[in-house]
Amino acid sequence: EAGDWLILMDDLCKRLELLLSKLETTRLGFERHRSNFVKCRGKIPSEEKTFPILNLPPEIIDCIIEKMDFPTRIALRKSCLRLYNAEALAKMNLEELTLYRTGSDEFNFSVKDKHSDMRIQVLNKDGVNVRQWMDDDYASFKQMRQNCVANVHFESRAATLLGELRLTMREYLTRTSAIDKLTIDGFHCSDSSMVQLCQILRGDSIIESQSINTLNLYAPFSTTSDAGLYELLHSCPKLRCVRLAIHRRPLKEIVVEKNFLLLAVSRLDTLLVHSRKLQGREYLVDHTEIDDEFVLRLLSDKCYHLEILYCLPLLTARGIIAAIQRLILRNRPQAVFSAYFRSELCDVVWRLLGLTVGTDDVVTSKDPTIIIYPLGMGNCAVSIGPHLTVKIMRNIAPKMNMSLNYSKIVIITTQKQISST
Amino acid sequence: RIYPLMRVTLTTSDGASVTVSRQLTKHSGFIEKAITDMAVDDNAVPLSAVAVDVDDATLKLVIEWLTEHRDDALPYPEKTDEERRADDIPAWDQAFVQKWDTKEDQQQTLYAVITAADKLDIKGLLDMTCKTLANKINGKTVEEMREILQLECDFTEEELAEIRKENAWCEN
Repeated sequence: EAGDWLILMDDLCKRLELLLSKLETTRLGFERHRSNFVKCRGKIPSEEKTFPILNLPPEIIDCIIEKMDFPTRIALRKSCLRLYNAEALAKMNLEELTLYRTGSDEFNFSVKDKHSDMRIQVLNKDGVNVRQWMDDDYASFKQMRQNCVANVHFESRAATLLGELRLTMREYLTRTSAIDKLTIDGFHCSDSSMVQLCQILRGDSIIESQSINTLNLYAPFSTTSDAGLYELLHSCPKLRCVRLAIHRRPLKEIVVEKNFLLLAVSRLDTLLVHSRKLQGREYLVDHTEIDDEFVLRLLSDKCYHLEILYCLPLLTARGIIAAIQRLILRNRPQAVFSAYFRSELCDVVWRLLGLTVGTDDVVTSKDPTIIIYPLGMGNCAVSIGPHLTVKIMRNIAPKMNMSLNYSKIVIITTQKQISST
Repeated sequence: RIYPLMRVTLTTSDGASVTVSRQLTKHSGFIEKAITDMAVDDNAVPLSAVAVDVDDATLKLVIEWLTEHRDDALPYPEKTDEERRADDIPAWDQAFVQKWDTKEDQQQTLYAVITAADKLDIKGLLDMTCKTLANKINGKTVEEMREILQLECDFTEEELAEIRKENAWCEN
């Protein structure tokens, strides 16, 4: 009815007026905020003096600079730190990013250039403190410097706190085409920092960071579980290789769960779990119980390089032989499996393998591989792979007489290769 | 094969639409890839719209340059280190830049075209505009560079000393 329409229109007008009033209030609030900002900082964000060249991608900045004559290029480097950094970043092709935990909430960073052996470490404490080193000698280092691969500074000049990790990593990741390897030294696996890291790796704006195929986690620690490891696996779709180096101290060590191991071997080509303390005097058995049956489950078809060297698995000689047979049957040229077993099983394993322990030097043969090395304290390690390497340490190994039914056995002494049949 | 009569509609970041010949867009790696990804019939006239992250005013400049360079050989030749010189800009390109380089916001336009050439992957235009900017800087003092590029000196004294030390081998 016409009357109803009028009421409806009137109602709509009132609502619009209310909305406009709210918008005006918001606008006035914003203006007030801006004027406060001007008072505090002396400048308005939107009218802040812009430096257009610095808004260009580093690659374009580099493209412009390389068209300048040489003296101009040198002079330009002295004009502005950010420009200097942008050029340096553009010239770097970042391959590896490493984060070192230096304190409870601090990290240092290290990056490696793909096309050179240049490594740049950023010690981001007490102001800018950049240290560089080369894997090669000083002459190469000097030459590299002349080729303009230069210091990289962070804009943040305070110690890198966890809160800044996101920004700092984002800056790196967005300025580089791709990162193949990510190394994190000392990181909580199940606290918020791990979640933060995973968010960064998954972030839409840095899709290319998902190029990470190798993840090295050194000394991760967690008070609860390895939930963070699951997160990382899911965050890096191209991940193929994970190295987990576990610290035995402090006591709040990471617990590697069986389910994580099973998931990892189903997703990865290479999984290495090591313990830094295992070759020392302490032989702590991890909470993860790895027995014969579990080892066989771990020898999946996907993962062809598996090293479980962080605990003393509860393997029997039969289990070891079964694992060896499983690996040989898979017939993968790159297959490697490493685990520890108790030294009292050594003779049994030898006999089951048809080996008589003999020589006192390193013995290497090819196809397939068995690596056996005693670690002291009554324990040995066995590693099985394609290059049939039987390694017996000099001080323990008795005489060895090879009688394996494998093709092509090469015996190498510490002096020279002596036979090949 | 690119047919001169084929046309493609470009939609700009500020909502405008421009229809241009495929003969022009073939110089843009971005647009060519977008067309390929759409897997449309090459005979479709016009082709489906391709969204470009460039504003209308800048795109018009880009199209003007592309029109002049429509017959340039592709792919754009890679330059060796020796060939990376900034004093070989063709006369038409110099006049083209000069035309809008005299505006009040001259550098903003130049940066906009550089960014557009980068986004649209037009190597020839990117090369030419980078040379233009490089020419503005060549031979200038550090202070003059800062003024032209609107840079501020954000080095600390220690950092400046370090830079001087690094460059000592090639100075004087």
